[in-house]
Amino acid sequence: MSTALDLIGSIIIASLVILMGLQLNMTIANTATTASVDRDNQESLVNTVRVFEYDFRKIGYSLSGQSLAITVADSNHLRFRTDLEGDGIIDSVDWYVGTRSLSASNQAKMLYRRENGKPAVSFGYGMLKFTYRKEGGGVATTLSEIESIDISLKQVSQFKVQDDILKYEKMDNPEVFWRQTRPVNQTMKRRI
Amino acid sequence: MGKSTVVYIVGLLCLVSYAMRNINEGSLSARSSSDAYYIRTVNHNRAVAGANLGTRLIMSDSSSSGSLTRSFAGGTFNVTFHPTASEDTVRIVSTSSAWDPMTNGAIFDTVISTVSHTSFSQFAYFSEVEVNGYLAKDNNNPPGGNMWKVTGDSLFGFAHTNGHWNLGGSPYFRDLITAKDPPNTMNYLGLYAPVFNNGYAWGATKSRPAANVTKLEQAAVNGSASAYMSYTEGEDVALTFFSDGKVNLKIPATTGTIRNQTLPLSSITSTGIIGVKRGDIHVKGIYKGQVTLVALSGSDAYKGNIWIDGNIVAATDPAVNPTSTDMLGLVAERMAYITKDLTRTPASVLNIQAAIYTQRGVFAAEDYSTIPLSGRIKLFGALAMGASTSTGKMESGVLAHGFFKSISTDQRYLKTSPPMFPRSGNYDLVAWWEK
Repeated sequence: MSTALDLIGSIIIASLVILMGLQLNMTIANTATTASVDRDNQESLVNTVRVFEYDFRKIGYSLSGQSLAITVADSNHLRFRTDLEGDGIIDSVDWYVGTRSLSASNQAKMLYRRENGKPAVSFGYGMLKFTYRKEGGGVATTLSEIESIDISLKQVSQFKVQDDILKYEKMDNPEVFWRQTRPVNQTMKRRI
Repeated sequence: MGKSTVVYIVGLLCLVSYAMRNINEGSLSARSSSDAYYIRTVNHNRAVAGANLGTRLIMSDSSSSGSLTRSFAGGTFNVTFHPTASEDTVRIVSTSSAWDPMTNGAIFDTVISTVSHTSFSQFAYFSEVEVNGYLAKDNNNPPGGNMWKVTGDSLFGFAHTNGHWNLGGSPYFRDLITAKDPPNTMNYLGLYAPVFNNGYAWGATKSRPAANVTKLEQAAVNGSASAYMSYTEGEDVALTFFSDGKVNLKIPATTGTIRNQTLPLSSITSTGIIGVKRGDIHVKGIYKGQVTLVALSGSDAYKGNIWIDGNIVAATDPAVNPTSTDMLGLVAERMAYITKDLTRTPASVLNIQAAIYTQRGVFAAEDYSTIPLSGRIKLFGALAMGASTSTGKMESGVLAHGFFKSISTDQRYLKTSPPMFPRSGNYDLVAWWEK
């Protein structure tokens, strides 16, 4: 009788432990996946930002005093001119948001960079917004007024992940965010 | 029961520990990309700080040279100065370095700024002071009196004065306008509303070293081994340019008894400078190539003038074709006159395509206050003077004597200029490059 009770007790406890282990395994798997997707997304953002900064630090470089550095200034499309490689040739660079959404439930769009009218290179899905400011911080209304640009970028992963406290149907695409205010064309603006 | 449970729990703990380790590594690596970005950004800002410091040093003390190294924000930056042979331009190279614990290696960044003595050819209009600086042929005392920019006046191109502007009504400035002091303002026809289309800035000064003019003398001397070619002393010189690149050189200007020859421009000067000391230069025609004419006073305080005897334009019109390589600089230690010509009518047009610089005097029409209405001066190029220009005289609110004038900037002169055209004594930031 005692042996039978031991056996039954062990089976019950072992079952509970196994169930806990399975639950823990699922949680660990979800957490690991989330961390992995977060890491990929952050690395993707950092890479995008590095290209951003490489480009934007050079806006207007080598242009003559009266040439406009920025030629298109929409909230989701920026075109500027610069001597990107320092070779004396003025380049035209576009950063813009495409039309294709990530999914029906997520309106993040594909981000593109295009140089000198060549085929565009995509930088994943996200939301990109440019705000152009004039001297004093107000919103610029003409190209020649632009003194600085607020750049807001939200990079969105293509992969949905499940938070361990949410149900499957609550899965979502992880997001990372970056914002910077960048002066335009220091060469021209610091002419005095 | 006890033994098997312990085995289960120990085994589970081992599995969980292993999994947690992997999760932690994943989380840390997610953060490491942000950390690496932060370290690179700080290092870049360090290089920017070095470039700002170096640029400020050279702009406040043009003798700065060599290099400087500073520790800053957990790393170092090294700034080196690289002047050109003429020292008109200096490149300031700032290199920052720091230790990146993420990669266990050093990281570097570079920012390069370039400062230059700004050529006065960049200005559509420049004056030392905004007063009437007209000097008559035989009088070195200017009449003085504030010169006003009022409704109807417009300037296309950069404009600067080392004094203050006198503004009334709504004069129009298409491009950046600067001055040492804030403007003197006036209601003109009940209005004070100047249009600064591209902004304004007060507090800026551009010095004009006297050496600007005199250093051209040596270049003129070096331009030719023959006497009375690229350099003449004590005589007036007349130059008539032709569109085939030849120039008629007449010394003295009225008789040509010393020299009266028509030669290719390159045969007259190898340096691109033609100079006269204790004499004046008369000029007209259609020029081809690049040349700067300089008239120096020397010991004769009434000499050192440029006389524009008629249209003086480029063979390839830079207003139509910005790739034109024809450039003319007119540099006078005293005055740049438009020679009086009483055959002109109110419908006449005088075309001048040149960068004009006068050290003491101004660009003016000879006897501007007494000559009849003589039409319009169309200056395409640049104008920098010791005071304000005087080309006509108003009476009862309308122009009664002299010329109307239109001044347009030559876009080419924002990047280049006629040979050895005078430059500011200050350094200006002209380029900023970040890696």
